[in-house]
Amino acid sequence: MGNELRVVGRRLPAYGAAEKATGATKYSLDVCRAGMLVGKLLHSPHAHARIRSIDKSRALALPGVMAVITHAETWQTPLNPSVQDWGLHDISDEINDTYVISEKARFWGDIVAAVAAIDDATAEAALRLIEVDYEVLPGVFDVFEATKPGAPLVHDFAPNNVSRTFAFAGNRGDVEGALGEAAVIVEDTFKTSRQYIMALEPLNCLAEFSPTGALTVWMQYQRPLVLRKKLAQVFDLPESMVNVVCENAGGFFGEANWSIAPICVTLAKETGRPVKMTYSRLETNMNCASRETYVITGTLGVDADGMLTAVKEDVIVDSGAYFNRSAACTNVHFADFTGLYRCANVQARAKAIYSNVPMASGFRGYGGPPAYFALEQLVDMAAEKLGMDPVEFRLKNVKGLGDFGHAYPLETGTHAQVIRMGAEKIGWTEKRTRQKVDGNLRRGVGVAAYFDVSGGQPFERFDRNLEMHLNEDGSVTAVFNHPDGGMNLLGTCGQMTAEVIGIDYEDVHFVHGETDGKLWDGGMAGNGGLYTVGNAVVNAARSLKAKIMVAASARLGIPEDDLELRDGHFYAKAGAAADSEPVLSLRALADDAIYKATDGSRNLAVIEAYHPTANPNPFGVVFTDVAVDVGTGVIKIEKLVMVHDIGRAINPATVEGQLQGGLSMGLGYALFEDPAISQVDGVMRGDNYNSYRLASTLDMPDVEVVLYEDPTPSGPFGGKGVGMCGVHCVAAAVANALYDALGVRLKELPLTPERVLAAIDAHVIAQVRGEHKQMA
Amino acid sequence: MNKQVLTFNVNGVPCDAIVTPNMTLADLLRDELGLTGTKESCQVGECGACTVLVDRKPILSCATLAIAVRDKEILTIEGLAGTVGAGPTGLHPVQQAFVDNGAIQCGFCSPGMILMATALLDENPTPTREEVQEGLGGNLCRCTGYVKVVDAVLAAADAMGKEAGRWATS
Repeated sequence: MGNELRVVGRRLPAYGAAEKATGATKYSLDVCRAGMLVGKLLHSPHAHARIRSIDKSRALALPGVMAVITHAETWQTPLNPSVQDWGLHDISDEINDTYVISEKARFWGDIVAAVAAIDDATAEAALRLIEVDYEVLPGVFDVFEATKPGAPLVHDFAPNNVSRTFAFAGNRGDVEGALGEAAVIVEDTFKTSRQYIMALEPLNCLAEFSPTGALTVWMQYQRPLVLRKKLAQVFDLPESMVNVVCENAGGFFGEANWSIAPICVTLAKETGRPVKMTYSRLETNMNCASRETYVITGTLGVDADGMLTAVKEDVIVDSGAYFNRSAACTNVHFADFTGLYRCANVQARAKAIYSNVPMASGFRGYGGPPAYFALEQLVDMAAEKLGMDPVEFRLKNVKGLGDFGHAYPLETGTHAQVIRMGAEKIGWTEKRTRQKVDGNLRRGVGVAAYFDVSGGQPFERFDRNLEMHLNEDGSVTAVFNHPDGGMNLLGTCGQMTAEVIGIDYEDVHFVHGETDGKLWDGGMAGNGGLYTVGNAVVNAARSLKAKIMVAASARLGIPEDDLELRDGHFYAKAGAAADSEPVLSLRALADDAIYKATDGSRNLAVIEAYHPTANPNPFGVVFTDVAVDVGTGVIKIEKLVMVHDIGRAINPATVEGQLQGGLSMGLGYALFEDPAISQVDGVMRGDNYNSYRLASTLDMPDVEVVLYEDPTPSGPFGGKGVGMCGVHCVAAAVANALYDALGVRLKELPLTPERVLAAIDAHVIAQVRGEHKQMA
Repeated sequence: MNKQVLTFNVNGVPCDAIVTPNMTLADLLRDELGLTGTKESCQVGECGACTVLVDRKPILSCATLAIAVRDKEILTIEGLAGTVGAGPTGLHPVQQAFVDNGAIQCGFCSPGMILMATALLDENPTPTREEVQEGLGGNLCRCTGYVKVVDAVLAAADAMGKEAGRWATS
């Protein structure tokens, strides 16, 4: 590198955007196979019930019904779809408690049976003919009820419904001692909500066996090779007999529940025909993952100078009916809560609880948004007690070079600059001191900071392997297994490849749609794409370029050092021809080398790997300006400012899009996203977009995303992770702005008008009582 | 159920199809005609992903019966390119603006969003930012946060205005 960048840093169209704009892109929902049957699921109408018996004879007798399966026909070893036991780290915190189809319904909507039939209507009729004898059990829908003595048990092996208690691996120092000496202590309890992925493409799966027994599964899944491994395990097939196809997905954002796949495959196996299942929106919610609900009791100790001396939290995690990603999400939560600021004494503990609500799993941000909702309010509370400005408090305590991030030392120390830049953009000082009352409106401004990771290393396997070929026409193809879920990972990798090799962006292609023929790759999660896949791609491009330069040098008789490859042409660096006319095109070199096998240089292809040994932290801050109507309780976010340290933006439009999208998801989390699971019967009322609200264009405030660039040493071109970051801090920043506006703290998400009004009422009543006491 | 032969026009091509009375337009387009560019997400008319134009007006194809389009002209995303002065890649100016402005992420809402924006610009060629936000209020997206989507529609309006101006003065 070193020279001026030609492709990296430009706002080029995202990979595949024109195909998406014309409707040409195929998602798994669009795939049809000859002779395909329709698969449908029977869901439990009870939140907690033992199944005494299932009579499927009437359903099977219906013409057009090809198979009916229950727990008896499926693999009955408990699994955890999100746990990979690769010996990479201690997984003793994990629990295998999930069945493909269970003998017991543990939440409203738990899968009881499945049918395959010739069409939708027949499949639906068959579901109505399955007779299930349920022994209805009392359910628990709240973590506090669930842990009371005598509460119904979701799983027999978990007394009091406590599945695990665990402590953060990074606990250190003497927290109680530090709290004993602290000048200021703040402590409070915060409750977060269950946020659902709600990606636009409904969860779907198509499974087909070939006559020789090879299995192909079409499904949107962000870790296709992991799904292949799981399916090979469940169906006792060698991995090479399983092909998972996912070229494009209508949004990922986290780990879709994989159970649709083994059910669909079982139906295909039973019928000998391809079977396709498409979940309704309610099914997608019920049977996919949400963000865990957390009850967080956090404590901060601060010395008289405003330096944090103790960070402590006790967390109750509502896993729902199955454990799934509870451990991983909570470990990330610990790292975010205790790690954002410099502090010598840290203690974080959690208790994961089962309840009769749909399971939670890994969702964009993991346990980060709950962590920042609690931590960043506590930080404001501590600053207020000290009489210190919230921005100043953060600037004093943020980490810099020499500090540790989640698991590795920080590579850059930019957080303070990022926060300062955000304060300037929102007009912090002026807004904190302005007139807050404006008729029925109260105006406030709030801040919340975050940091994150660039992949799951060292705790998860983010090993990357890929092939890269020079094609006969001088273009380059990368072969790896990354579905396009909308993050423009492919385009970003294309820009870096083009930059390294010296070709145009349009001349980089990808083969990426199915696991067949691909080298192992752990898939996408935890902001890991750009950093880990990007580093692998840069390695491969450098190796391929080295081969190309050797071949060109031999062909031209010019030393490699005197040759430059740019825009797909070789130029001689010195002599009369320097920088004027190209001496050879890459196309001509490739054509000769490959078709004519000249110079013994046929093998213009490389295989490269990348095993991450670092994990740079992206930093950021969110500022928000809100107006609250004290009559209606409605919060209007008038302005959102985000400054994000991306290291380097390979494609700034892509990075901004990731952050703007994250902010809209964060806005929904802050203000209204709620599945409305009944505390009486466990029924999920948020069954579609009318009852589980997503932010629309009309909800979006004026959003300003500013990219701060300070290349991180270990990143590809200095880049680092971004995908999850937008969602972290809107709720925290809005809650802090509310406090600025109203003088009341809201500690439970979402921040609905009802909660705002109740908090105002409580505040007024408390004030009046206080005055009465003073008078008395 | 009583099947009927339905005659209509899709993307400028006369078509007929055998439909049942309860078949939705989305199913007709996707399953019978293979026009899978029309996306179905919520299946009940809440998200806007299945938007197509019928006689130039946007409708939700998942909440419209197929028999309602008898003798009508349907425009799906597959037919949009080439209907108005094409951009450098042959795309309709709205499609081109979505591509150029980074308004497409996973792309699942994009066909509906683009057709809705096209209809909006058909009615109001010079919308304000607020009018675009209002017009796209029924098209949900989980990826983009809408900022670049609105930018794209405004850029398309600009490009189409210039194009129209060029024709007018030449």
